[in-house]
Amino acid sequence: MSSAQRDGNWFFRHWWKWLLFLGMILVLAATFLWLPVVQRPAWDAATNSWKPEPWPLFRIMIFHVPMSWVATIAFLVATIHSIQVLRTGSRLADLKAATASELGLLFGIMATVTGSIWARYEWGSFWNWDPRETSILILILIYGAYFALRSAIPTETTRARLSAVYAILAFLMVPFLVFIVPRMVESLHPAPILDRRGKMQMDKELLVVFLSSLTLFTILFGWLWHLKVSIVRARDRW
Amino acid sequence: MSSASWISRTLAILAKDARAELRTRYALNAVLLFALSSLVAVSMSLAGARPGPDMLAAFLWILMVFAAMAGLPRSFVHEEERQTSGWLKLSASPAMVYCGKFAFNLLLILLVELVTVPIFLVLLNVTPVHPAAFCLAIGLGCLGLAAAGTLVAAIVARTQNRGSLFAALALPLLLPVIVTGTIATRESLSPGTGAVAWGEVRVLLSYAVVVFTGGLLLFEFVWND
Amino acid sequence: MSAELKVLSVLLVVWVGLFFYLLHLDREIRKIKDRQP
Repeated sequence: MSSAQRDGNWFFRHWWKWLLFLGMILVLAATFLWLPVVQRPAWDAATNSWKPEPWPLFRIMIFHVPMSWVATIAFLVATIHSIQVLRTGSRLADLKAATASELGLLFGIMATVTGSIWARYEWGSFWNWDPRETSILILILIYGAYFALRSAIPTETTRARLSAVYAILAFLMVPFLVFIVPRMVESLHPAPILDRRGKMQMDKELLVVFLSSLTLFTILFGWLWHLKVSIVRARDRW
Repeated sequence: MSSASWISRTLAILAKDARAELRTRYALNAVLLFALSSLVAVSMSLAGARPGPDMLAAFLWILMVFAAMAGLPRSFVHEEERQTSGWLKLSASPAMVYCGKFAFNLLLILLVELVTVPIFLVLLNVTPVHPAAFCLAIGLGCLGLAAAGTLVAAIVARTQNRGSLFAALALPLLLPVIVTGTIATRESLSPGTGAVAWGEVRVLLSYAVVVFTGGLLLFEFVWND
Repeated sequence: MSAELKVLSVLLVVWVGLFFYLLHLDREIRKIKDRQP
């Protein structure tokens, strides 16, 4: 099939990309224009009771949480492909693992930045050494070190093997950092939204927008990952 | 192979490393000197001020970690430099080599702590309120340091950039240990609180187990090329 | 314009820009793949 013929049904074969495009626009518009502002209880001294108070800052969560979620997914994907590297020595698996780690790092940094913005308005300072904040920072350092390791090994096969080992070791840290440490120590972070029965804490409209954002971010990750892998293969011709 | 023979071979690796180390005393000297000098530097800069348990715990852990960064990579560099790795590969399985190296690193760190910690307590005029909890926190921390340090040392031994790369790779992985260990140590130095910070102890223990096991499983991929 | 509308418009511009850039990359890859046997 020639390129011209391909272009003809190009629009239809990549329908999901247009869905992603519109979906994200809808989520953005809904967040700022449609969603009723989340309320939270605030103590009203005048009437000596709890009154609902608007909490517009909460909307950052619609983007911040999906970003950290995608970072975790990205690291999981990297680990799966790293295991594959150790089993088969596949060059493609190594490329997939490295690309996933790169994206994980990127989304992790974005999550930290959005988290900092939240922290600044909610608690007064950009950084608070809250256990969850610290955990994501540690993860960023760990995966940054992954790239330091890769750049120190010139031989391709050795680089694939050793960075795969490190990536698996790094991912072993994720349960500690994401689940254990924040549970143990008091945290400024809002109560976990999605684990256990958390879903009921959000009203329907917010839930819809939030879940859509989560799905769209995951699709975006998938596309970016696939794109980067294809670019490297096309550029280096394999 | 019987388990007795497995253990004796692993111990043989440990003994070989220990003997080599005692002969040159390179790592031991470097680490002890580093730890003691930093300790003296810290005490002098504090100049008699009495820092609270949180600062003391932090200082102690910084010393421990940096000493580990200095000493741990040595366990595999011996092999690369003297090319004894071929011999080692023939005579022992990767698991044995890993356990032997881990034991060596653990002993090295514990030895350094055994020297530095009492001096720390004396120079800074500290008496741990809960001594058993204090030793527990430090001991479990050493386990974690040795576990992560051994595997990372093996990885780094195969690369070009030895020195700073080890610290760059190991330190982020060790941050959970450092954070939890510091909290546990702080609790053992503070009066009134319930001696052992059980939550932290559990985390330190599970960290050591997870990383040691992970290291054991992954080591053969680093060792065999 | 309220602060919210400003934030929204910035984010929309960023997203649209990013999306079309990704489509562009997609096209470039297809062209390279077409040239290869």
